[in-house]
Amino acid sequence: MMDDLWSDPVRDPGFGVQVCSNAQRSWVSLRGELDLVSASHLRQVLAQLCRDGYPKIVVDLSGLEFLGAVGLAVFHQVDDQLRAVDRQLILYRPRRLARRALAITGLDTVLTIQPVTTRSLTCNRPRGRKALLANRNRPQ
Amino acid sequence: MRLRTAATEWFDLAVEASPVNARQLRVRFQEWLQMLGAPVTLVDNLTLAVYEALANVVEHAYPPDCAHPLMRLQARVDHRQVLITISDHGRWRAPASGPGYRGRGLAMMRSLTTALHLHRSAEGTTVRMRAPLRCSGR
Repeated sequence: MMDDLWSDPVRDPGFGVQVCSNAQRSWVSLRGELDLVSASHLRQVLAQLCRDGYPKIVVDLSGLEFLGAVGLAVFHQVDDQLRAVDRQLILYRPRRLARRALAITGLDTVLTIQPVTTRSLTCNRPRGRKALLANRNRPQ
Repeated sequence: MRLRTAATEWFDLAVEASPVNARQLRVRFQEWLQMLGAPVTLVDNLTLAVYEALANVVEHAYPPDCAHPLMRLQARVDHRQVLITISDHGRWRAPASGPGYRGRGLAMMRSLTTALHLHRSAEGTTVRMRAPLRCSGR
């Protein structure tokens, strides 16, 4: 199953969410700024994915340019909800500012964060020799 | 958004306290720091610290029916220190008790700056922060 769900660029041109799911996991790609304007939208999207019952939700932060405390709170809450039912939230490829926010709050030791890789990420897996390296670190 | 002064080493904007304006103010402040030649790490740290202070104003300073909820961000460089003041004219409202997912803003501000002072009074709340400006390329 595959979904595409983008936020409304008219309502908030500074933030976007794309969801790409299969039976094993839901892949949520974020772009722009996760702050007071956008956090409620992301909370709604993640709440729906929690209800849908995916074993794993991967949130790709590589396109996120800003992450405030309100966004961290969304991740922490969803992480707790999923852990309680033996499911998993993974934060994938946070950029420098997001890594900083996660580190100074100590959430980098609470949440599951996967390391930075060198290529951009799409719903479709890359092909060729470079893809072997890129996909090695990608959550399944 | 109303520009009060605009000079290279001064930043002073007063706007209505809203989520959208907090975002816009953060972007303007980030541009100001970059214009000063602040290193990337300092720009990141202070931009995040300032945003958390602005977010506190938006979320906690004013009741929903407040007619003129203002927030003001001032910053300047003095003796190679970036001095930042965020002020409002509201009454500080403690966050609602909950499962504990919020309330990290002040701790983040402390971690991201070298000094933070919070002053609450009947006239409003003032947050002062500072950090050394280490200009890149010098």
